[in-house]
Amino acid sequence: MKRSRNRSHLFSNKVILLAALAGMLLVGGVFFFYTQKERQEGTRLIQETLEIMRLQCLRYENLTVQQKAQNQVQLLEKAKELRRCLAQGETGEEFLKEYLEEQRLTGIVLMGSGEPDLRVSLDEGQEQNWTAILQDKNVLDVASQPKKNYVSRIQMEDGSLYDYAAIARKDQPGLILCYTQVEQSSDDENQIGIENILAAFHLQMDGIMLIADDTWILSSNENNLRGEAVEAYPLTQGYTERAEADTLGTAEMDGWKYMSCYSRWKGYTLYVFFPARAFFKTRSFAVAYAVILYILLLLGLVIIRQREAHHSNQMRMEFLRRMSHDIRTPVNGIRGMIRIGNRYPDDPETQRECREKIWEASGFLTDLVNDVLDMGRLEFQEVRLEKESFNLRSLVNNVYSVMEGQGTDRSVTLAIDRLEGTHWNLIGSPVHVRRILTNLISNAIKYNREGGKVLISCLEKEEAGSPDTAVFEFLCEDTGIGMSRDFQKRMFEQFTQEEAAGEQSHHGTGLGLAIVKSLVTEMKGTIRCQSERGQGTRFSVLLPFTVAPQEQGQVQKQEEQPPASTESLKGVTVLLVEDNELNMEIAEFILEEEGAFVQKAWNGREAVQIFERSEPGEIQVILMDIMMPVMDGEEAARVIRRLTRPDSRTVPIIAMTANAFEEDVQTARNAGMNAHVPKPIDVELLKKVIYENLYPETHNG
Amino acid sequence: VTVSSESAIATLSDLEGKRVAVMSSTKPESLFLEQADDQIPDVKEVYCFENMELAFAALQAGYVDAVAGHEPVICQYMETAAGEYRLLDEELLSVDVGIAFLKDGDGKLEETLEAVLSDMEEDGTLEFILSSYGISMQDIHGGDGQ
Repeated sequence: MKRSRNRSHLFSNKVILLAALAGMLLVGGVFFFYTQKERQEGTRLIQETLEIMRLQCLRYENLTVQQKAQNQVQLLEKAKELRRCLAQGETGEEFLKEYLEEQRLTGIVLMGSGEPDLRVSLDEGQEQNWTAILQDKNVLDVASQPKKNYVSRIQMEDGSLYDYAAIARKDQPGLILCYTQVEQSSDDENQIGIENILAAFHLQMDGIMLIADDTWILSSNENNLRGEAVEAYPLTQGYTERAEADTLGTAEMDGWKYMSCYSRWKGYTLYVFFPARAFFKTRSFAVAYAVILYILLLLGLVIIRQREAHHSNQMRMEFLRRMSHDIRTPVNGIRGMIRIGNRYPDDPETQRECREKIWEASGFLTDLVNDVLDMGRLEFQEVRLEKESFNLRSLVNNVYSVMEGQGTDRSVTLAIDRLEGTHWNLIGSPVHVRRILTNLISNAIKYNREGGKVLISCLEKEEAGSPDTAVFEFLCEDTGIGMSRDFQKRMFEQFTQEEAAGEQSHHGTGLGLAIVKSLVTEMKGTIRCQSERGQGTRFSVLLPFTVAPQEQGQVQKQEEQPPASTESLKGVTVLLVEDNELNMEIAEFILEEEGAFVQKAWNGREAVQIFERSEPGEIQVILMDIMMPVMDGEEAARVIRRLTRPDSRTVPIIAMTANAFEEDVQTARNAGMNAHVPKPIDVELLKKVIYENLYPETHNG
Repeated sequence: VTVSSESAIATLSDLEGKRVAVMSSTKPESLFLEQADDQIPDVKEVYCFENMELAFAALQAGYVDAVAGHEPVICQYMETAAGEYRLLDEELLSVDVGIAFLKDGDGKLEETLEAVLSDMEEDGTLEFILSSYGISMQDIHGGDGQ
């Protein structure tokens, strides 16, 4: 029980580890998936935003270029108008000044052949510059190219901007140069233009867009950022140096992380920033959901496990309670009966009754111990299926004859319904088959009503896969109390026993069906059950066996031998080896009652000495306890087998021990013993085993 | 030469008596002004701007009827500048590009350039660069020289 608890504890640790791992994988997977997804989506969003900004810049650029082109073409038109006036005879400085004012020009230069330039202008001090411009080939060319309309813009040393236009004169060879100062304020207007191009945008997730030149933030959808220095704003500060253009990066401001990207467009740098928490919003939600879901799942599992543990604890408590009850009841009976017997020492009738009841109670105790041991072995998977040849028909008959008595005791009729099949000689584990049948039949008898019936059948199925295999179906039908549907679900669990109201009289450990189920599973068979409360129960067990290659008479005979009661031990000399005084007395009594001569040895060494001193063939059989002081039974058996005597190898040694486990039987065999009889001693079985080993030739035919 | 997509001008000769915008000091400017070739139409006026941007702006605003310039440059502007444009099928002039070196140089620079250029052609860099200007390798190999 302790071992099983340890194991379940270990198992639960493993489960916890696995669950934690699965949880981490789940959350990690969700995190990773959404990171990828949102990163992709975010990158797309950023690229789209940058594209919009580029488009806005382009529009703005086009607008300024158009404005400039318009101004310059107008300037050309003014120059052409002047050319027309000159061609019509207008001349002189006065006229030029007038024209200058009319057309809002800043200055006019007339160059003719053979005469000095005529210059009028509103701004003084730029003469030098204009003289230089007049040396320019592009300008000078105009004089000889009547079709050429030359226009350009120049920035003077003092920073002032001028548009100037040059065309050929028509009144005489030469050229006309008109110029006008470009108002810096018009540039400011343009600046306002670029500032406004992002103002109307409201980005989702509170994104920030910026257009900057090398030093200043020119435009942004956040009004207050305009005009700020690039290096003064935390997000843009040093950003272009540490990050590559057109790739997703990160920036930080006020402790918040931003997903970001920048792109160059002509002379501008375009920036986009999105708060990372908004960027990965879905991810956060998804991860949170995953965690919550996972925790709920875990909680569910834990609750289920707790319930299971609770249930299994309850079962254990129930088992202990029942065991305590089931042991107490017969012990109480035994002690009570002895007390009664003591009170009436001279009343043989009471004495007999007491002994009978004591016998019955101790029988039940034996059953209980057997069941508990078997279940324990099954639980630790220590069942060893054997590969022995046996006759199934005989086995069923044998079980029937053993169980019939039990049925009669309870006024239940047990009958074999059908035995149909061809391959009765099989190889398998007869001990366990017997156990299955016994348990099922025993239940059918136990949970029956007075005058009820139990029918058993054993049918060979035809659908065996190969010729070496035979599948048999065992049927056990009863007209008993049946089982409720609810109980049928749990009927194979250990320590379960249906207790219908007012039916406390069924003695059982609640292990019978659990043992059957485990054994059937172990033997790769199946078990099915039909039951109706108050109608009865029908169990069907399908078991596969290997067909024995040749009919082995020995086995068959063994099962079909005459009833043991006809055997007698009259005149047989038995060496009884036993260290426990009470057991010695009981065994001696049984053997002497059967007519045997008994020699007693109190330990293994004594047994060896007695055997050595005896005449060869004098001691016909040795009954050997296993656990003894000085020398144990196995060692004694080994020593006896090594003695140089004619009978040292032939004398039957039968182990007689409370160590009833399968492996104890095996170690006894290995030590050179012939057979094994468990305690408490079943007289019939003991007689049968001794008889078999004394006269093997009778059984081998 | 490119015109507004709605313009009636279809051939070079349609440019007769029209206004053409060019970038100052470029080949198209001198072609139109000097009219050395019969093929070159007698345009009314040649507007010389600082850059192609302004020339296109003038075309868009309708100040001029056509813009003349180097084809790759024009193609680029046609893509980015506002308004719809159409390139005339005829060309003013087809030219080969050359690189000039100092007359009394040692020729090493020439060799290096030659090597780099052939490298660029082999590894596809040249093709990549050209394709970004809308020129295929056939276009440059079709001429007299490379």
